Amino acid sequence: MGAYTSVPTWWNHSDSRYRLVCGECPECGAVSFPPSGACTDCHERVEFEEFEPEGTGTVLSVTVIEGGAPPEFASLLATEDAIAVAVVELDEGARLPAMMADCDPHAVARGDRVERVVRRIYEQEGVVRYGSKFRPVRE
Amino acid sequence: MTGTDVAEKNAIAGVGVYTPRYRVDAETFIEAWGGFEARGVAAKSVAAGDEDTVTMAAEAAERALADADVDPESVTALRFATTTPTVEEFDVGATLAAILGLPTSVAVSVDTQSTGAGTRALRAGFDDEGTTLVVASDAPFAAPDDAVDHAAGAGAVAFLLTAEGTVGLREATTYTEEFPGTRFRGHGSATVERYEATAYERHAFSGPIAAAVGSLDDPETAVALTAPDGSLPHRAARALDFDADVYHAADRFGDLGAASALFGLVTAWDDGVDAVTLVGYGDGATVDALVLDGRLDASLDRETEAIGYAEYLRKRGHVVTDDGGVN
Repeated sequence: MGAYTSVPTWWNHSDSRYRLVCGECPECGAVSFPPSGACTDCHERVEFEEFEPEGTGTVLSVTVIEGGAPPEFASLLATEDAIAVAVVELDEGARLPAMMADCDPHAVARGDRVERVVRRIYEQEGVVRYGSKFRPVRE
Repeated sequence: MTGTDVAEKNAIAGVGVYTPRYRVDAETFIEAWGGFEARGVAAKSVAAGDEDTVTMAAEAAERALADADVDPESVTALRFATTTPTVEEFDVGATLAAILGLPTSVAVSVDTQSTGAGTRALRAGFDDEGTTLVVASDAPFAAPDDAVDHAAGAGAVAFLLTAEGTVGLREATTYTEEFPGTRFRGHGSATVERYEATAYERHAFSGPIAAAVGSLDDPETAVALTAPDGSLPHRAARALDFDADVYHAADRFGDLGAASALFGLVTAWDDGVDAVTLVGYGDGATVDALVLDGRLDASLDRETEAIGYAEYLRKRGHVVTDDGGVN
């Protein structure tokens, strides 16, 4: 059973899905992603100051999925054999889970420098859902 | 040379190129099929399962914006060209604009139905007032035993045009003549087809190109052309009334559809050429011939991974369906 996200819900956070728009807490200055709900640091429910980060960060942890993916990711797993999923800490401080792209999924390691790219996340109800993934910084 | 003589007109200020990391070479096809139908293609690029013409366009466009050091918020027009939009109806230009963070006031247009669409979009960008982002992204698709599919590659190229750009348009011509039944894709079909009358198709390609270039006042001998394979551009060049230095990228990346001629332009720049005749051909047929002065640096290199034929079939969608099943 996969996790269902309706198109309106997906659209509601499209700036964050496409360009990782984050929120700075006006109380403590910590950066949260996505910029809604309670601050991840001081846990206050605040109106975040939204901003677009550089899109670069560091891999904190990574795992590789080689089978048993939720159904919305079945075709990606069928074409790519394996999907690397990482927790990334953006240089601005926010942490988020994301898939890796444009690389060997088995070669991703903790501490790797990564940059945001936009890829197809999955297709549901005939609608392609685009969003951010990360790839290793190669320069 | 700089574009100072066209300072009041838009000129290209930045360029970005993206190709997916997977490569499949001619030998791999020969092992699978006993032959390879794409003449002059040594290897070609293959998109990953999470890539399409929108994601490749976003990659190239972000690089062009960075190359020109232009804030996405200042872009006034987006011109997106592809023969393989991800949907038949729905403005994929709006999706691309949102991914890039372009302002909601941006004027979006999508050129499609023709491999000449990329050159046509670029030509329009020179005439725009304001900051125009031109993006051509393509991944042609045909039956796996068809020469079109053997040649089909994947990639995107983008240009950022402003009044302060360095690559200017010197002159441009157009030629239109109908040749029914050459490369086409029917309503509701994912695959490109051809009538397959070789001499007729070669004439339909070379004739209009010679006519368009022949009507330029002062064509440059460096000619970047739409390249359905690595052979046809050279054949077309032989029909010109001067000795041309032919530039295309089909030998490295395969058929790049609406982005093909623009990859040829970047290939010429990469070779140090600073004045190019750019020829965009679309079956139908229509041809735009542009003479461009100036060059920008753009690398076509990236790290790659070679794949086998079975992987190729899966990544191209020949055997895997959208729900992960098999065709």
